[in-house]
Amino acid sequence: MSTKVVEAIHLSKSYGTVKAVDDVSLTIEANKIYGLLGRNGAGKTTIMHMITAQLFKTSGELRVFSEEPYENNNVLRQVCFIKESQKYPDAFRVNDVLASAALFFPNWDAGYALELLEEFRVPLKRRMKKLSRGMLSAVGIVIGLASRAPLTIFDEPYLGLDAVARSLFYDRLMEDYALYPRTVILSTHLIDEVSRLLEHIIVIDGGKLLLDEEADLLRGRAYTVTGPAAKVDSFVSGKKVIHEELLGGFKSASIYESLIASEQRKAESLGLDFAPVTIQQLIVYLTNNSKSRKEAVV
Amino acid sequence: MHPVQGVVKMYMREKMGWVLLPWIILGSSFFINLFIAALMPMDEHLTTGGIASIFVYMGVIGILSMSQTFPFALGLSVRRKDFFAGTILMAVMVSLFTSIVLYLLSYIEGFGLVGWGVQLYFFHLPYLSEGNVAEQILVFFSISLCLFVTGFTIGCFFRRFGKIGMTTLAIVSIGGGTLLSYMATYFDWWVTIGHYLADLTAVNMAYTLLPISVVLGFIAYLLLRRATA
Repeated sequence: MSTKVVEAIHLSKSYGTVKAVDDVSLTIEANKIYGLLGRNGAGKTTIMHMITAQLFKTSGELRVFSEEPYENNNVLRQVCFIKESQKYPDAFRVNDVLASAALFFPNWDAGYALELLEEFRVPLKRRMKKLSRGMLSAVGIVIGLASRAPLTIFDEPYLGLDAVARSLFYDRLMEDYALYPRTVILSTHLIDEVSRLLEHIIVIDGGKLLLDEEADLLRGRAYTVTGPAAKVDSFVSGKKVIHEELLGGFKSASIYESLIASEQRKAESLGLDFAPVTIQQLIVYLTNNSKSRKEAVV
Repeated sequence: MHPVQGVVKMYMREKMGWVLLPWIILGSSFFINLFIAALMPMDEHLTTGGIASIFVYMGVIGILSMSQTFPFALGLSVRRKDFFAGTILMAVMVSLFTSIVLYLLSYIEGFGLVGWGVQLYFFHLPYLSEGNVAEQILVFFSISLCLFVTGFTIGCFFRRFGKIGMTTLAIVSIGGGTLLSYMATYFDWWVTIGHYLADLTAVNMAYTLLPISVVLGFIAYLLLRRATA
């Protein structure tokens, strides 16, 4: 079996003249945790809907488990897509939702689902309509984890969840992922919180693919230098500056390239300080609509 | 388990909406009529069309299955084709159940506890309750299924084309209907239509409704194939 779980080639989706997804080509490999990041309206959700055959592509090719996903049970039986906007039948209680999920996910673990539900403190008999936003998200997370689908996609899974519940989600995801390896795509705004989980990062901006990189490589991809403005200026000349801040006579500049050790030692002796740029900061810089983005990406 | 079976089982979790509620509505209508019939002089018959509520309700569930169950099923990675097959199977089973129970009640009303002792004719109706057992059940069944499929098709149309599409469809249908009625007047079709309807027996009506249901179901399927949550 191919290790390519998702393969998108020149994938596009237009609504009239608006291009929600514009010529995106990417590959998702088996048994890895992916972060699909980007600003609101960047096209992340549209891509995930197309992968799960809930929306139709305008052009391009899309293969999931080497097959076209639309109306294809070979693919759909292996996919679980948890989305923030999921609707439930009005009459359904939490237990009805779990029982229904059990009908369609071949690897469903009912015992695990109940265990998780208890941990997230969601009442089993409560009507879905009466759940708070956070509990509604928790139900989605429970389905996503207990489905043990070979491709599990979480789109903004923790709207309204408190910090305790979020960290519970990260812990359970990591534990279960270790026991039952699968491909996970996580789309979120809370990049700092999840960045330690992510193995690969894909950034979408304005419907286009902006970044597709191993998380480890990305961590060393940029750094911030701080010090007296004049010294910083001379250090950064000729480098790709993605962010600058001036405070009094001091300046900090973030640079989009790997730091060379010899250069760092030389600069430190001049009184400059270095710090890594977190993935969240990096993505904020890259997707912030300013001239810096174009410079960085070129 | 086959996903079609899964869809049916998912609907079964909504027994209240699919099975109990229509009978509660019909039951309350029946008891109100029973009360009125009891107050009336003994020599008067009371024949009502309260039975229509259960058929209208089937149309409502048809719409609801698209607005509520479809987005949920899609969220559980159910194929559209399987959702369609499961929904129609569920509607056929419920319609069959409804028509058999209605027939039994009609039999009791007509031949057992004649008029429930108060001359009320709620289930055993002139025109509908004619022909043999199979024919009477078929009449109830075809009305129930046809209304369900009609509601379901409307639901699919809405999912596919949204509010603007729905409004356009409504305007076009009203416009088309008006035009047809003017044409009927102009070309003197009304008499023919009237004769056709007057001559149409309940069983023949049932035979007409079944192919209509099939055609509507086919349209619903085409719409559903391109519908999104």
